Amino acid sequence: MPPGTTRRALLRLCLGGTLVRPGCPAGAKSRVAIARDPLARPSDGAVDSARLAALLDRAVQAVYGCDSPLEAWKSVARPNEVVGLKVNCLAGRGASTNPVLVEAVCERLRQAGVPDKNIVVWDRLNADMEHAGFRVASRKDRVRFIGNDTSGYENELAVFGGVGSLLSKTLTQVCDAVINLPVLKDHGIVGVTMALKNLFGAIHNPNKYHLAAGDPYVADVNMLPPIRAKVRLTICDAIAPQYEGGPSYMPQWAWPFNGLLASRDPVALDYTGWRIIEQQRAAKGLPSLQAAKREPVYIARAADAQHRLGTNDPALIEKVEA
Amino acid sequence: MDRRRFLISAALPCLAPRAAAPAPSDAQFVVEARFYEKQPYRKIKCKLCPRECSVDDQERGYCGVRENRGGKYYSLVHSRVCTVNRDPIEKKPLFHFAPGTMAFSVATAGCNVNCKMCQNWEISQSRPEQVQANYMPPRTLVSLAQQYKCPTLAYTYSEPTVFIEYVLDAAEAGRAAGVKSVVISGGYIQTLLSKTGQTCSAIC
Repeated sequence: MPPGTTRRALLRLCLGGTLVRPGCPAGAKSRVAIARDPLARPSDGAVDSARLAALLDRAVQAVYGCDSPLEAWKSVARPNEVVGLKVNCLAGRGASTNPVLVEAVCERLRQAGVPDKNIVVWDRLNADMEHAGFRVASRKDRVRFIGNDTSGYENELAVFGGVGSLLSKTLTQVCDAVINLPVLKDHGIVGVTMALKNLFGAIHNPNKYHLAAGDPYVADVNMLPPIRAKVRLTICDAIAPQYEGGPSYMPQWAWPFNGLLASRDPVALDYTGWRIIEQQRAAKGLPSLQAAKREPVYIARAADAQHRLGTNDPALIEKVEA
Repeated sequence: MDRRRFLISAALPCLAPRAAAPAPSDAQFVVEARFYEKQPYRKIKCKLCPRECSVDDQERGYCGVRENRGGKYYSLVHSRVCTVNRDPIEKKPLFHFAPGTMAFSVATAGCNVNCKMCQNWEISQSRPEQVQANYMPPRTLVSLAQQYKCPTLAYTYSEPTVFIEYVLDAAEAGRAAGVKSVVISGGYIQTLLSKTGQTCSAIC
């Protein structure tokens, strides 16, 4: 035991070893649903909203193991809770969370009893959201679309490990629960960007945490208490993922996967998405991310004993083709 | 120092930003960066400090104040002054340079290091849009320094390296008007430091 360890820290350490991942019974596998439909995005490029909604239902139903999609959505959030949808808009149209997917999620939340005024779609900047096809709106009686530049950041630093950041007030003061809606894509510095990396949009200084391929910073950001406590579900937009050249939109490296990935375990989802990207890179004759010196080691970091954000062990990940 | 001069000196930090024009939009702060290399696929490599950030389109470098927009790299903090004060030159600290005079000290948001003990972290570790700022172009800066009897401009508080374009332009304007420039920096910069030295009187 390191010198200076307090009794409180010792107890926390001991208890930590016995605690299980959020949302996962002891011994249970982390379920990652992969729902695909080749016709979700026909060759003309526009997403078929009805097919995408059906994909979403299949994915969420598979994650929660429910008999109906509505039952699954009722497990995500209660009607009196404010639900934040964390989109990823930095790359503009093409490589950002598809607005059709966001509309489908909003519709299902409504059906589950969550009123419009309790749904907040958010990301870092209003300008980013508009470039991605969202219309910024802050009226409190409707679905809100706001950037952190509207809501601002907390005044007190949130600290874990190597990270010290001010958190978005949308996350800390507005939302009771968060559904993470990242995009499946390559990242030129940290390897891949999906569930864990998308939460960089909740802090004021993400530019400081891309060193060493984001290790341990990506995992550390996800340990900040409001993030860890509020993110309940990740639905990853994999309609047209990108296997090289990210995070910017590079259409020559996007491919029609026509799917969604969903999980309550962000680490398992990231690991699964990473393998999908590696398979596509290999199929296209590109080197692995390890060979390209940007292996996403932060995924393993997020699963280690200091973080326990989920599992990256393939034996403990249950992939479900929904 | 009499009571009147003390009060003027104490009020300056509040008054000086108001003397400059309010910022109507971000566009006026954006100038193309001077030290970077263009790379394929709209990427750039920053050549300002030893980090040499490789920055994708729409992303920023480590400092958070330089952004790649469609393959061109831009400084977002030219003339974007978030802090201004009138300090004794000895506080910079320069003990053998214009002793007994005041330095008109300015800073923008951003820094290219991340020191845990930083006393100005609220500005140095923030992005430009996260802190209040005023538009203070080089000539305005120089005339304010003269108005407040400061023979020296000091680029300080955060990290002048990351607002180097503003430093160079303000130093040139100051030299033409007889106002010296000093840079208070961590020195984490590439060889262009010597270029900065040509227009600044002191670097510490």
